[in-house]
Amino acid sequence: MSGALTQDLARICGAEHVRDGETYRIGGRIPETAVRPGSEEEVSRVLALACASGAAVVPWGSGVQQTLVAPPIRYDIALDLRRLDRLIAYEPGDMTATVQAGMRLDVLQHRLAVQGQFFPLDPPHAERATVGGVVASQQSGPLRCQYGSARDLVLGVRVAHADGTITNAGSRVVKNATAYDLTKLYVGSFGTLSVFLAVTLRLHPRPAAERGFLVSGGRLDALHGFALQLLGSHLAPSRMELLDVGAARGFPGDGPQLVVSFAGVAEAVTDQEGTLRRLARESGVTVAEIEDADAFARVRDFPGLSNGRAACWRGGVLPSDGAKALEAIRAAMATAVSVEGAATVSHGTLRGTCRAENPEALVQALVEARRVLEGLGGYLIASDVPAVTQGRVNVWGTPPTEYELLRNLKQAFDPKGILNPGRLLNL
Amino acid sequence: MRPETRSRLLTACQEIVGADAVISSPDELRVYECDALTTEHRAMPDLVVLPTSTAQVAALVRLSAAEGVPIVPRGAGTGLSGGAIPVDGGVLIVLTRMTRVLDVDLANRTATVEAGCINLAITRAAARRGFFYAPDPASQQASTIGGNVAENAGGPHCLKYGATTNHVLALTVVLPDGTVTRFGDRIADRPGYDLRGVFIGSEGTLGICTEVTVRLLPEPEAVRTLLVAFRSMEAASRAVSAIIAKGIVPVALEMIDQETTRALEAYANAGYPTDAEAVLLVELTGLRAEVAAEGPIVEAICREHDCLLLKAAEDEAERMLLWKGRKSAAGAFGRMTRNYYHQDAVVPRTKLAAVLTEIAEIGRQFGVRVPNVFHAGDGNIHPLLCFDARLPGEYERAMAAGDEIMRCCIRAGGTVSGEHGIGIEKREYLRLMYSEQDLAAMRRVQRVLDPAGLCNPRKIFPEEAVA
Amino acid sequence: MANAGIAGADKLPAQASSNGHGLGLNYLEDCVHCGLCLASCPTYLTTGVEMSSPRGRIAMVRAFGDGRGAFGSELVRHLDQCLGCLACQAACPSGVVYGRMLETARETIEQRYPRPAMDRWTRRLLVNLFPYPGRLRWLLHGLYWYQRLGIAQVVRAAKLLAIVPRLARMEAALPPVPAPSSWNGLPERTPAVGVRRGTVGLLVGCAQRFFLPDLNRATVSVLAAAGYEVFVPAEQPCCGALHLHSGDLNEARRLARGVMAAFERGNVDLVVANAAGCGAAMKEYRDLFHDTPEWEGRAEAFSARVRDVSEVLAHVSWKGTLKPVPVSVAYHDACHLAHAQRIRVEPRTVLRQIPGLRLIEMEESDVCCGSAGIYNLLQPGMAEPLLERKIARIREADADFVAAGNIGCLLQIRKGLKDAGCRTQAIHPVELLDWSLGGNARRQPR
Repeated sequence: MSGALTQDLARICGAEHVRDGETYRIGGRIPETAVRPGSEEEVSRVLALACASGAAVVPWGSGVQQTLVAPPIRYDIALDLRRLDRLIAYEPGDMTATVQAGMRLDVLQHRLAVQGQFFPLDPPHAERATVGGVVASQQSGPLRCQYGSARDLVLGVRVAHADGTITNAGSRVVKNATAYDLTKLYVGSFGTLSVFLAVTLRLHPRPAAERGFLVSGGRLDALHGFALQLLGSHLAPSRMELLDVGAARGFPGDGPQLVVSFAGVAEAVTDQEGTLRRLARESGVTVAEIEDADAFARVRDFPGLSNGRAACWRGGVLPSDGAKALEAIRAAMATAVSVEGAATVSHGTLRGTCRAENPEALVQALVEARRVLEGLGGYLIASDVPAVTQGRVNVWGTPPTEYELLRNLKQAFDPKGILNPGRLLNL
Repeated sequence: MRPETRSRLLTACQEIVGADAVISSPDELRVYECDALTTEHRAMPDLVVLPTSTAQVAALVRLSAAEGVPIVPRGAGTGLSGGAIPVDGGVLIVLTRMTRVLDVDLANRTATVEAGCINLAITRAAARRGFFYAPDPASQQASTIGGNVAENAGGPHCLKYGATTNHVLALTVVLPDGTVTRFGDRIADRPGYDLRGVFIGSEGTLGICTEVTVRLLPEPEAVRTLLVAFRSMEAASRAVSAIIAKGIVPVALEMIDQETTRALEAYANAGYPTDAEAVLLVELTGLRAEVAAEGPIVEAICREHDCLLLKAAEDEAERMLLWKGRKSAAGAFGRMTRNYYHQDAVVPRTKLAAVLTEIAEIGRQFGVRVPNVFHAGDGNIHPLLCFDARLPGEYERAMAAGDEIMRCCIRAGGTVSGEHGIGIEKREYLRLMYSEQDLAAMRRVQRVLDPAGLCNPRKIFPEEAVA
Repeated sequence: MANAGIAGADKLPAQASSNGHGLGLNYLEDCVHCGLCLASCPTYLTTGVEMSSPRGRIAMVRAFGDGRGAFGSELVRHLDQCLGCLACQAACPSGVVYGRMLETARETIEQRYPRPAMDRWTRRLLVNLFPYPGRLRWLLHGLYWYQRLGIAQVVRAAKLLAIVPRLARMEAALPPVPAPSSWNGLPERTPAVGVRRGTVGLLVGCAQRFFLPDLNRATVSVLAAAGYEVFVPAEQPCCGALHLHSGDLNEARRLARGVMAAFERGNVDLVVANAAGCGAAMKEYRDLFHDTPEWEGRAEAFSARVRDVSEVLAHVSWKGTLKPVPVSVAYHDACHLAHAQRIRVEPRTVLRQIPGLRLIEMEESDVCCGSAGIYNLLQPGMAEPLLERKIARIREADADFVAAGNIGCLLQIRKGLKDAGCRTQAIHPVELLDWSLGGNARRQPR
């Protein structure tokens, strides 16, 4: 099959854009072929071909998000979308931009910055990530606190389906109530329902000023309580990240830390700083301004990616349970050598690492941590684990109650199961 | 519906909800033959039922599914696109008795309410503690949150805060086969597909939501409201663009055209200058320092753009007075024309001025008066097509003008519905915006959730579009 | 001072004659089904059913007018259930004159619809009783002793009226009857205190003169203190509100003529009512006599002179004669003040003038308490939940007093507060002002 497949793909995209799949490894698998289409038309034809032959396709951007889900159960074609990297339409007056999925976020931000605007998503490794990848994974960063997540910021999409059909969903304007909002379905579907070709994004003005502060001097739960108090007040922080002792190691001072930032008109930022300092005094914690230019990026990228001995995990609980969850995880991961955890306080989303002496200990730590989070009504995802533990710990945990529906949807959109098969919730 | 079926349904419904919660006499059923859409679409349901719990709703849906009978959910019936009209008869499930506020969790800033809870009641429940529910459709004192969810309702606050879909975290849904499930969660980013997001705006065709969990926001510290009258619509549009370009996002940017201003002044005496081609209401909210900084910038921009009048509210009473005119627009319409068709479309803001000119031209062309009130910030326009149904030809001309206006908006890169939904009224317009394949993808989702096709049938999709 | 008049008065078409020549329902086409009235309708808030809303009632009446629906028991039931509070009319952005439809419909029902016997007799009894002081006096003597001698307690405890549930509920709704000795009349002329700024006539009201005699005394006292000579004709009939709202327009007109004649005799500048329902009815005389040439001018002139007592008192500057009354007061907007007469500000102004008094704005202050004339006797199934709702809001306000400018509201709320064991007492704003002027010592709560 391989020869024929490669030839067919070369006929569609040109031989120079087809090669072997060596650099597109995921988990233990390498695809037979990797192809880099240069247009929507080509993407469509590649998918149609794959569908006809039942070849499993994994869409690729820059690959920084591939460990967010399980490895594919079958893997024939890596569909690299990075040649679709144009800014199709940008109207600063409308605060919307339509970009092709393969455009890198940093390139986009540069173009927008010229007009004093930006796209307020800051997922881990934002510089390298592609718009399509970010939107397909519904990944957020600390700025979610103020701006929301991908689902709040994507207005419309253009996608290619498993059989090669191209459709539009949503719109290009900021307000729309027209028929089914399929953008919500596709965003966060991790390429299992369709492949993004282009996305229309909602933009924001670049804030005139932005300043960050480190709050410390309290226990984790005290800092968390303080953070919740700030969120319930008039203050409008752009970031609110709680770092436990482990995660806070890169920052001055000992103990857990709270990273807070304010963005907007300079007077408002200064005003909020004043309020922050006053409330901190009342709560007995200290505030120091963050001078380090890389600090935000470090917090954003935490925990990084897994390596030989450490697994990266992510999860979620109610925002009010953030500190409790982090502490409970630390306690539960008793078999681990080190545990680091952080929380986006406003949303209760958690992330971290855990390192263990051996694979068994690591597996046990993750299982226990999951038990704790599920006990709080939440979830834990263990998709980014060292190769040696892969397959030994369930990636997802307890399936959602509407699982049947999800399976039916997957079946309806991808009857042959060729798009990222088995990667999301075993669908 | 066959009499035996109806009779069986009647008995069974009475067993589920009690006899005083079932309406079956023709004179009373007739009252439910339309919602706020008052054109020729009317249809009587076979039965009307008023459940008081999710379990009852589920039982009713199961019952109807077993009998192969359509179900149509309804809230307060204030929808403008005919979403609650039972075009194929069937059982109309009215949720107006499920009004309870179940939980207000300020630590997590959420509130959970039954679907029949009125939009404004959510804010009232949270206001005492300094929080509010942001989406503010014009109907908010009467419309239910369930209805808002079905239509992805907007309102002036949309510009800054977003629509219903940005503020609803979770839903309890009774699926068309009667199973009860939960879409979304108060806990963020659970792996899976965003069925919550698809359900919102699906106009009651994918099931019936019985409980809604929403996000609450802290009330802003400060508010500043300005009334600005512009000599020309052109100047007003440029001023709006300039405000946006400065990076300022007001919480409301409402624009009223001259014809509307004249009508509402005659009725409400709000102090809006009738020689202004456009009257703009700008409201800024946020931190005190933010508003204090942005206010003067906005005023300066307005002055640079040939404004006839600029009034700022000094206190809450004055603020209510400035808004009085805008809020009387609906009443003014009722007095200026015998009948009207209230349209809803969105165009990119940068195309607003051009589209408004074109709409004026269309009005002239068809001999139809088209006053306009719109949300200048997000390009959501509400042209009002005036006619007198008693005079021959007026209705047809008005509808023809409306059709042309829709096409004009699509050509400009907009959409056919900003907040009213598709319902019955705009089914055919969907094809202006979406291809057959686009619609087929949506139908695919519908078939997964409603394979029998009995959940609010014949809404949204053009009649012939079968994927 | 301009007379606010009845809401929507400028849009009223010619009054349908009492002989009922067609219903003339064209103005109902103003209704665009927007549904905003639902938010203000107390019966809709209670049942959630469309036919309990103004929009639904209009739809049923229009359907009948179009020949699509019947004028049957359902339509009548839903129209009977309407409180006539007119909150919807105030809220309607299209200016639908719902009140006019209601009156026309009620007149039609009264004339053409065959009510079940029990229903007919109950209504006839009540409508022929309350507005006639002579008859009412007779009955109230009996009721006074019925209550005083403890017969009421026995009847209730033994549930003797249980066989006729309606009678039982009516009995339960009976307010306590004050001692007949307190039913004294008021002097025909009470001079103004200090410089006389004008002469006003006072309508003493039919139920009020018996159930709240102290209120009328306080009103006279306060008006005199405000510088008005007060004229209280001894022979003044009922204002006709009950008949007006029940559809018997002929009798309503007869009573109205009596009222107008009584006050014309006194050469007054203004005619004052301290009951919202009566004031609203008198302001409507101009429409009641719209197509009667002989009385049209007189009614117009009369209506133009009618004021609620708060409209008069809000403009008085008391120049330090008010003593502190350090209590908290929640204000209840009587329907026929807030909606029918659009009077919301003046009563609050009156209360705010009183030093030491803390005014509390309660939630749903303008949602009907369920009294609505004799509605609470005819529609207990709706009046009870509405009263409960009102008491819950009063409870939340947690004030020493709840003030209302209408006797029906006061009696209804008073009963509800007593049944709920709530500490708040119901009082008329004028009584608080009277207190502040050093008038009667605070009366014992009933």
